[in-house]
This record gives sequence, C-alpha cells and structure tokens, in this order.
Amino acid sequence: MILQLQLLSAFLFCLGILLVIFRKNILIMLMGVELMLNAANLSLVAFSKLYPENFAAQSAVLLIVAIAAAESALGLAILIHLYRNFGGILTTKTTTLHD
Amino acid sequence: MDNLYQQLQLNPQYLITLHALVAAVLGVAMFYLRSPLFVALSFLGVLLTTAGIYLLLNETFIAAIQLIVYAGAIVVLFIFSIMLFNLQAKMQKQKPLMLLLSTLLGVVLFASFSLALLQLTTSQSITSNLTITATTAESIALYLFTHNYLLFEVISLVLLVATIAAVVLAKRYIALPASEEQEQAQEQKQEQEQGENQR
Repeated sequence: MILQLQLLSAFLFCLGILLVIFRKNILIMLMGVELMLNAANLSLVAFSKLYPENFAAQSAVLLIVAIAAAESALGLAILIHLYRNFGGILTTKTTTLHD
Repeated sequence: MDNLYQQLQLNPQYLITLHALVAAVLGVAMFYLRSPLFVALSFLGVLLTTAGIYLLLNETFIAAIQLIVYAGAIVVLFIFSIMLFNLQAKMQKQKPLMLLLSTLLGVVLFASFSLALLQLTTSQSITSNLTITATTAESIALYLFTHNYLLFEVISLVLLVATIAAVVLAKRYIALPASEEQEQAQEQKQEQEQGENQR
C-alpha cells in the first residue's frame, strides 16, 4: 500500500516537473511547483506509516505547507509585476535575458 | 477509537487505490488541458483526492491542513489571479512535437523514479499491509514544539518576510516628479522617434 502511494507521489512529482518545463503560462508553472510540494508531502506521510511512533514527517508536512503558501503568495506578486512590465504572463514574452 | 473506514465498513486499500487513480488522471489532465481555469480546477481535484488519502491513512489533522491551506487558500488565490489576468484570450496551441517530447520525458522520469522505489522494496517492508494507527494533532504538536521548535520559529519569520515582500512587490510605484535632466532626455528620445517615423 505504501508502494502504491509512493508511486502516485513520484507520478505527481514528474507531472509537476513537466508542467514547469513545458507549459508557457507562468501561472501554470507555479501550479506545477505546488504540485511537486504536494507530492513530497504525500511521500512523507506514506513513509511515516512505517514508523507509527515517530511524528517527524507530520511536523515536516506542516512546515512544508506553510512554505508552499508563502511561495505561492510571492509567486503571484511577481506575476503581477510581470504582467505590468511585459503585458502578459507567457514565457514567450518575458525574454529580456534570452537574447 | 474506530477508524474512519471501519465506521464506513469499507476496505481502505481499495479506496486508497481509487483515490490514487483519480489523482493520477486529474494530474494528467492538468498537463494536457489548455485553459488555465481547467488546470486550476484539476489541481483542486488532485488536492482533494490527496486529502482523501490522508483521511484514509487516519491523518485527520494533515487532511484538515491540506483542505484549509491548499484547497482553501492557494487554489482560490490562483483562480482569483486567473480572473484578474484575463488569460482566456491569449491561449496558444502547443506544437505536437513538443507534446510528444514532453510525454517521452515524463515517461522516462517516472520510470526512473519507479525503478528506485522498486529497488527499495527489496530492502524494506513497504509492500506489506500495515495496521494504520491514528495520528492525533496532540502528538504532532508535541513533536513540533519539542524537536522542531526552532524550525517553527524560522517558518514564522519566513511567513512575515513573504508577506512584506508580496506587498512590496505588488505595490504600484508612484512616479516621482521627473528631474530636468530626465525630462531633457525624454524630449530627445521623442525627437529621435519622430525623426525615425518621418523617415
């Protein structure tokens, strides 16, 4: 059962990586980052079932959720800046360092 | 204390597998759907099924945190910003080659992860069925405030800094009255542009 959950977590993590690499919309790339954090949480909780007396994983999950919330707030603030300065939030427009 | 699935008289393993399958399908939908709103909604679905898995593993506190912070706050923030940015008009179709390449890369990544996991099963007993014990909020709090209290303080600082940074970043800067040099530079620039337009 833990193996299934680990596989699901790996699958979601891969999808997060793909979202960050291949999507052109920065909003969706941020969602990919959140998906990766969520997959890491799932993996931690599933492994913690091997050690029922240890609560390190659960407390780590709490901290990771707090980090995820802070990161999404900051990411959306940066997104607002990008929208003002480039007139859009597609990565095809934000190419100042590209050429 | 009875487990949730004992009260429901259902086998938790099948339910967990069902939740995992739904989460995987919704994750794939996140990648292939074009509209950001649909992506956000499938992300919400992934988070809800993950919360369901936490509940079935008897991690009630983690499930509640997942629902409140992830599904309640973060996804709503994303949907709000989709509404603000009005992205529907500028959707682009992805090239078939890139789609194929991305699928290939995803398969390779997932295969390598799964190989590592399957190697782990030979040394650990992670395929065996476990008796799931309930984790209470009290035990998590005890661990958090005895072993991880320093991290807890650091996280509170990080949240404060992130709040301030978000406010500073999203603030609209008010233009200060331009000095004479800047005005002259702007005038010169405008003249140059006009000259180019005339040519």
